[in-house]
Formats: sequence, structure tokens, C-alpha cells
Amino acid sequence: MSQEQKKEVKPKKVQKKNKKKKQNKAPRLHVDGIFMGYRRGLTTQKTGTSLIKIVGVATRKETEWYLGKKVAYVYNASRHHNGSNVRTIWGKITSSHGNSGIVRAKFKRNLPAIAMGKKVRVMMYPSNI
Amino acid sequence: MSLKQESKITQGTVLILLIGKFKGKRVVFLKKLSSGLLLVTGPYNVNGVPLTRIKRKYVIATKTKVDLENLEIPEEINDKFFSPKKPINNWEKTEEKFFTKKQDLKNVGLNETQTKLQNQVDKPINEAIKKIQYLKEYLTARFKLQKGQLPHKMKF
Repeated sequence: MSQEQKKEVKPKKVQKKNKKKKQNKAPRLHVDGIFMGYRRGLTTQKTGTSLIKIVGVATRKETEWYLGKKVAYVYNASRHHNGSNVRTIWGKITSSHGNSGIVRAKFKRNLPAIAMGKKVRVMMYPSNI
Repeated sequence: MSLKQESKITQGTVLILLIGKFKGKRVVFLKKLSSGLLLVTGPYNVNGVPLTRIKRKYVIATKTKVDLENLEIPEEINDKFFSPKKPINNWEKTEEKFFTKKQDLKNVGLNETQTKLQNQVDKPINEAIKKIQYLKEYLTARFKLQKGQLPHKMKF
């Protein structure tokens, strides 16, 4: 290789981590919950009502704050629609269930069984504060 | 809505928005409009929230208050001022519209009348904010739930 053809050795560019992006990340304004299953007796389940365990809520009294709040089950689909493949099923918390902080919720369309054990977002609205 | 809730939100109360483009932002409450919606402002230079209106149920009222001394809000700022603009019909048919990118139409910012009213309303609010230490930083910062924080245990 002739000297003309030799490429200059350039110093490696140090990749700066884009700190600005992290700061402007959308704030989390929901509490995570888990879809435990449907309301049920021992042998039959009523798929119209879902049971949700809200993180950090362990008594019946603590669930009072969450009654009436909106809930969203967020999931991905393979097909893109309106530029996004993220889909939601909305619902709301209707009442408490038992004494240990579990809560009942009704969704616009019943939650699919595949959502059991998956995360659900409990919003802070409609706000009463 | 109970009387208890109504008295909580007075002029100058700092509210946390829970929904929409400005979710998490802390804004100053100005007035309740005739439609029942709440009129708020960032102020615009502090956190980028212009004069907007939101529903009471999508808002958290905090204890923090800015002393606005019964600020009079111009009558021009009412529900008609915020009424949504008509959608662009026949999008492809006009030549000009055909060649402008959709991106260019998105963040247009505030127009002349909006900026004029915005500055008019924000001026006394900014002066009132300066009087309380760290209030401007508080309004700039966004509210978010962090790990371990539970809203039912929080005091707003």
C-alpha cells in the first residue's frame, strides 16, 4: 500500500452516554399490580371479575384508597396499529377482596388467561385527593 | 363533589397532573371555568405548561400554595378560548398540505394571542413564586413514583 492510500489513524471516539434522555423519561404515575386470577369458588371461576394484588397493599383498610381507580393491562401484539404494537385493556377497581389487600377489578373486556401472573398498572386517577 | 374537596383547591394551589402530555408536572391552579374544568398554568417559562384546562379527577391537590392575592384572570380565557380546532379535512387534496410534513404541524407552540395572554397571566405568578424558597425548582421538577413509594401512604 502506498503512503497516499494509507488511511490516517484517528483516535477512537468516546461514546457519551446520552444522559439527557434518561432525565426526560416519562414519569411513573401508576402502582404495579399482579393479575392473580379470576373471582372463583373452588371449582368454577367467574371471568367477568379479576383479582389483583397491588404491590405494597397488605390489608383491607389499605385498599380503600384504590377503590374506583383505573387499571390497565398493557401488552404487546405482533401487528402494528397506528404506529404502535402496544395495546391496553382498561378497567377499574370495584371492591376489595378478602382481608389481605387483594382487590377486585372489572375490565372493559375480560382479561385473557395468559395475563395471569403478569403485571397490571393501577393508575392514580380518578383522584380524590 | 363534596364541599370538603371543593375548598381544597383555591387560587394558587399547586396541582399535580396525572394525565395527558404534561403528566407528572406540578402546575398552579388559577380558576374554575364555567364548564367545571380547572384552569391551570405552569407557569410556561418554569415548566413548559401553558394555560390549559383539566378535569378535577385527573389532578392531585397538594398543600403547597402560591399567594396570588386574588389575581384577576382576563375574561378572554374561557371555555371558548380552548375549544378544539376543526380537523384538517381533505388532507391530501390541497397542494400545500400535500408537501408539508406532518412533523412540522405538530409542535407549533403558542400563537400570538396565546403568548400575549400567557405572559399577562404568568407575570404576577412568577413574582409570587420568587418569594418562596425552592418553589421554582419544585415546579420545574416532575412528580413520579419511585421504588417503594406507595400513593396510599403518601401525604400530598
